[in-house]
Amino acid sequence: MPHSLTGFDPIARRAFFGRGAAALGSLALGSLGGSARAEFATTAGEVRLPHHAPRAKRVIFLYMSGGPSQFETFDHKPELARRNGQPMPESVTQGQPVAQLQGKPLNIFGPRYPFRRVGQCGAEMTTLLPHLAGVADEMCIVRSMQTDVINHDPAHTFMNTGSAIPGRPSIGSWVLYGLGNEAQDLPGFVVLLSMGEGLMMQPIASRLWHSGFLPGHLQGVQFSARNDPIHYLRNPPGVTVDDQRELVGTINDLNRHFAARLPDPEIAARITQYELAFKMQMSAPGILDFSDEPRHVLDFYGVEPGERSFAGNCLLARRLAERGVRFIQLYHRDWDHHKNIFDIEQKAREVDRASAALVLDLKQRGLLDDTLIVWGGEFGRTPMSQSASDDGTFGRDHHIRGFSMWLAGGGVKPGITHGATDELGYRAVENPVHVHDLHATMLHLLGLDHLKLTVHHQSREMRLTDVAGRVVKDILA
Amino acid sequence: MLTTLVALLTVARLGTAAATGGALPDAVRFNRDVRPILAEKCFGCHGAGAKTRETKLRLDSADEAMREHGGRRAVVPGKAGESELVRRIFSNADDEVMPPPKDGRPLTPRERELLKRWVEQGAKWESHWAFIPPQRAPEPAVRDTAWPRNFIDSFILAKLEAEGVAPSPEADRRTLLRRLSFDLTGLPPRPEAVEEFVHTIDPAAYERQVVRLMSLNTSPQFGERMAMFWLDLVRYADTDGYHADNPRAVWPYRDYVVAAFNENRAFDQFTREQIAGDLLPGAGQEQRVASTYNLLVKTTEEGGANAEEYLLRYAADRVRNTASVWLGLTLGCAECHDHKSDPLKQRDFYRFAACFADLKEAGVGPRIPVRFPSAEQQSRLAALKEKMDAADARLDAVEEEALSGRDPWVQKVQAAQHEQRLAWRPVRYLGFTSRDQRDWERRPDGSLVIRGPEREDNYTIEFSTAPGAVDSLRLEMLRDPEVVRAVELSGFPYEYYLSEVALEIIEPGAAPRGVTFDYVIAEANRTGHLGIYSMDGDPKTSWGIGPEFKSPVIRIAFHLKETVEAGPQTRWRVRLENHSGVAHGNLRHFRLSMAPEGAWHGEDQGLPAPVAKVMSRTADSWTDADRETLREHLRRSHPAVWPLSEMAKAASQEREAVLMEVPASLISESGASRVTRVLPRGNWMDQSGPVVIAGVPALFDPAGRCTNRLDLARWLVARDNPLTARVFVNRVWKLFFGTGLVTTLDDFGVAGDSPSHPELLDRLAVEFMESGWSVKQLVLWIVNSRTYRQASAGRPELEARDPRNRLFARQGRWRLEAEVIRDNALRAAGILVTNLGGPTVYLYHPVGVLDHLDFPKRGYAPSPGLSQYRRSLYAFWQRSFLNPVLAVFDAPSREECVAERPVSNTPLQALALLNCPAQVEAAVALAAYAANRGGRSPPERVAWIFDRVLQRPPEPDETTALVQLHAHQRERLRGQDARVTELQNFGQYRLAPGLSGEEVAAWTAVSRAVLNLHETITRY
Repeated sequence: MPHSLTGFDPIARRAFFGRGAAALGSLALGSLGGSARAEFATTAGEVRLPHHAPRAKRVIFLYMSGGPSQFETFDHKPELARRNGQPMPESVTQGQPVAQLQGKPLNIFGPRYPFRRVGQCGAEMTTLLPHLAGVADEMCIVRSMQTDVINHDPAHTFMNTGSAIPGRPSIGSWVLYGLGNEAQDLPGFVVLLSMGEGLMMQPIASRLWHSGFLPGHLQGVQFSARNDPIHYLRNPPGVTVDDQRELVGTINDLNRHFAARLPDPEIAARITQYELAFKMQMSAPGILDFSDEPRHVLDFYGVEPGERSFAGNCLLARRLAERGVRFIQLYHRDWDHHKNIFDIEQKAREVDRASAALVLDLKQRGLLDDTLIVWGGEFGRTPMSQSASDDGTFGRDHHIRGFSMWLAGGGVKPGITHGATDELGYRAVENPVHVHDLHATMLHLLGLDHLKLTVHHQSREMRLTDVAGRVVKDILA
Repeated sequence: MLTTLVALLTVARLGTAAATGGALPDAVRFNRDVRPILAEKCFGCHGAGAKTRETKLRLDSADEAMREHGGRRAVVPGKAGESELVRRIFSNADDEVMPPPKDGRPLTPRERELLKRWVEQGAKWESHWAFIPPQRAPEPAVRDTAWPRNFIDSFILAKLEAEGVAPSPEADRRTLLRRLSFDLTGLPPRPEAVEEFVHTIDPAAYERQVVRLMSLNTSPQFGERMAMFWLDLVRYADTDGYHADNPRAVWPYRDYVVAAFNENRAFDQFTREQIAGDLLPGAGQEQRVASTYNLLVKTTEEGGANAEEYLLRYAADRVRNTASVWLGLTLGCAECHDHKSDPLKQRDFYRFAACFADLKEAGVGPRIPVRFPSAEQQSRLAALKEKMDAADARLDAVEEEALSGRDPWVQKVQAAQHEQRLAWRPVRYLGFTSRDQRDWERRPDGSLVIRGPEREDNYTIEFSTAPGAVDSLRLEMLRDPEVVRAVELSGFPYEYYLSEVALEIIEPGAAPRGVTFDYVIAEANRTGHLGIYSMDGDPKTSWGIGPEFKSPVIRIAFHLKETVEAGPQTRWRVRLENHSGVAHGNLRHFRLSMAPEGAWHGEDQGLPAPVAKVMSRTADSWTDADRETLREHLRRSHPAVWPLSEMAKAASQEREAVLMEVPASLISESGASRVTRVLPRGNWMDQSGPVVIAGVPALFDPAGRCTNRLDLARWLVARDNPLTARVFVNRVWKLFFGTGLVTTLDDFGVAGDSPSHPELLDRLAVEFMESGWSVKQLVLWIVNSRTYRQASAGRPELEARDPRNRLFARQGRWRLEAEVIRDNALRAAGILVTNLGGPTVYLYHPVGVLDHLDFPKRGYAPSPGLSQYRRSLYAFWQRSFLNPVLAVFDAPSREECVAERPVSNTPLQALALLNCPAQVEAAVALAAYAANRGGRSPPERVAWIFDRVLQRPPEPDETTALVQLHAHQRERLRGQDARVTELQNFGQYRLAPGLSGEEVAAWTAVSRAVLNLHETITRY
């Protein structure tokens, strides 16, 4: 029986788009990619996507879940050290939201690690991140981040969807909606999770990469750390590749036969999806198989063979980027250091080498220019200490008025530090960058205008940046 | 495919009447023609949202639009030439033309002409159509008077005739019954019913089928199907939503919804019970359960969450949901500011929120459900309580004795503490056998590594040890990282089970002799997997260590009833069995050792450190805490205490099991109302806004008569409420046609879609209310209409004319919903269990889906036995990580109201249908079914499978393809017993004895093919 799995329909490459686009406004045209976009963009009054020349083609978002402390990493506040243990002036804290420090004394807590100047650019970083120090000249450190929400769950939702109310599309879905998927047989938005060692794991939810009211095929596909990378990727037990190939071929033959009797465009799409599914079964496991990576590359990232770690995910991110995946998001959990700030050392060990390796590896391969790397969590931590029960350790509570993130590549000015908090590190006072601004800037670098990337939903034109957001021009290269 | 996409995309968002093109209407109507344009392109700046309006000009009211602004009037009725609006929209100047080019939403030429003509015709305003109560519209006259079967058809046909489009013919009978069956029950028809329906000459056969599929007695699946729809709206789920997303008890509410639809509870009553069941006069258990609705909000248990902030989040959540479910309004938009397009004020939002301010609830933390045991359950619980108390009392007595310090066993342990420790003696391995002939590797450290297939196995190990007295055998469970990794890479957690351990001694020249143990000490004991289970003679119970234990070594030691003197020639043989049901749960890395009398106790030998510490002191120095430590230990190892402890535990578990069956739900409880303020910009920390009292939007109740939750409940279903009935009938219409009369199912506001058939929508709404809000009556009108019975096949001329089928000149066709896809496969396979109601069930779920949930770490055990085959409606709904089988087919997380699920078509769906356990298991069961009942020859069987799945005979080409698939498959499987077994053991389903596994496996390929067909998962 002839099967069509070899002579591959070119339409298959758009198969991840499905039919959901039909339910959308004209802007959804972008998600058709390639030729289809060209064909539709001529209609009067429609926006062409991208809206302007992009600087970045893809994003790798290294998401430090739990909220890393800026004072132990990127925001140098000597004044905190000088006033360590003194009460934080009430004028600073009055009327401000607090999380676990509700009703507790608010005492200043100096940084626990020495800062030093690194790179040609002389950026300030602590000794906690020796490898990142080595790529400081590629980094754009933003010390003036701000967010709206102070608890993990809604803050994650806000950082990823621009709203604390569940149900909005995530940034990766927006990007895919605007630009489409270029990967041949991989989803355009891939999510990789790692935990590392730790005790205070804050849970996360799949809504952080959900497509909300955008079509379902735009949602992030979580590559599972256990079992198969993608759910149900593996043949059922006892079923061989040949069995499966013939099965899929038969299914598609029967579907074609049926389509001839009862024309239905959905059937054509279904046939394409089965072809693609089978191709994914063949190729997707390979992307997780690092045996084609030389030992020195594994060492460079700090990848232990056979272990799914943040380092492994960084290497996987590069492999996905090379294969055209548009939005790759890594979540590394357990940065929530309420009780003992020194626990941050473990986290730093887990991410430092690999984050830096990713930057350098992409650079060496000429991919850094059009890959935007974003590194940071849902919020930062207080300049005040949080005391653990009785063991004499201190940590920091959640903080939203000022925290740090960094970006690299993809049209961002390298080797700069942008924005500043006040001398007590409480508030972003110089060039504050709100989460909406970060989103607007990320979209801008991808060639998308955050004001125009909209979809009509429940009475209005919805966008990632809600009713705010401003492109941070100062950090554009 | 491209051309189709063109068609689909070209019409996207052309929902408004004004935009559908064609000639301008003779008489321009504001609501039909003008308002949609203004809403889409003008109200953003010239609308009701006072603070955001960029100019003083408002176009949402006649007075405002005609008022003079700087000497000009935007609208001068009848005089287009004098109207600034007309001048500006036709202007060529970039700084004058409206809308401003920077908005990127220019008017089309037709829209400009429409606005102009409207001004010329006198610029009459109307209130937004959906805010005017519906009136009974008269049935329009039609030319083809034979076509309409009921009033629905008259409205549909009148419009078709006006548009010059012919309706579609009636669908063929097979399609019709399959459609009807999916639409009314979410299940396919039984093949016999289809045959009967196809061949009957009874003129009322269709109506009879309708009645059969909707009657409480014959088809309670109707209620289940309607509940699927309702539960999406009210965001029903089994977990609390935020942060740790912990489980909570609400399933009795689900059963209430199923029953309400089955019993045809009047929709007004259904509404009042959900919003205010607890407040209704004479409220009984059912009404209280209905009021669970108010507690379906997402809640948090996150540490550091501010209670006040979260109470406001819950309040806003309720406003969004209630307004969306009943009113089709986006009232949530008014949380931070006045609504941008609808006349809803921020104040309205907070007044609506205040309707729920009497609900007693904590801002942060878990919530306690109320239990509703039946009389029978009550008496069972009482009996079990008695049994438990009796067991506890006996246990207490024995424990007290053991803890007194006089107990010989304890004394022996204590004595051992003070003796010098004697090293455990390593053993020399002489042989290893197992059923699967596993590889065994002897490591220099005295450990064994065993490798082999993932299948329960029993090991027999022969070994010797240095001569001397022996009174204990010890196993040290190890976890060499490479071994662990190998397991995890193959997709399994590292865990192991010992169901039975048997030891034999073999003296030279003598037959092997069994050696019995008298007790066991395990270093770690999980509930249900205690150490004692490995020596209780019951292979069904096991000691086992799950993946949550990460210690490098976990020890279990068995004490011999009688000390044995081993000579230099003595050999031992130990049998380690795994019948745990965990195929990958065999031991993989462990070490055996033996010890002489006296070396039994102490930390090194497996006595937990805290226990050893207590034991090392005399009984008179034990504190209460020490006793507790010891008590725990005794319950696991003391030869007299543990059996009693087990009995007490069993009694308690039995009671827990009954308690699990007892309906428990969060229910509404009314208390003193919290103060509600308008929060400036929605900021909960800003308490400067005015206090408001409960109420519904002033637009609908200017006099402010509604002042509490009960009032709200009554107002929602008041006869003069313009929205509720329309919103509901529209959504029900969508269930049966795939598209609403208003396409924006969740937005009946100004910016929403206009109805395609306004008079029909109003007529349905009025009839529905006048029928006593009878949902079944509404459904009957719809499915008995001729409109419903049309074929769904596309017609070329129609696709071009009306690609979104807004004229309903044909039926809709769509992919089945996630739940229905699974239920359909199970039903075809004959393994669907259709019991109604009861506790949530846990469908198969890939390993690791819940890995990223904490507080606490989450396990997931698929429901065993028949529960696994319940309808998907009963599936555990985890909001943060919905079961991929459901999520991949667009089932929503149920965090917010979902009135319309997206319908995607992705490769991930193909993977799920091809490879997920439920589908494969169904395919195996269907193949077995076919082997039993489907005739002998391959073509017969193909036809039989087709009948089960598609209720139609295969075409010759289809038969040929599948017969060939079967033949190839059979060839490949010849002699491949292992493959056959693996495939058939994927799920819990097991073949009946007497069936050939190889045959079933070959037919499984055919059933998989048929279950994967596009037609199988499509409703035509």
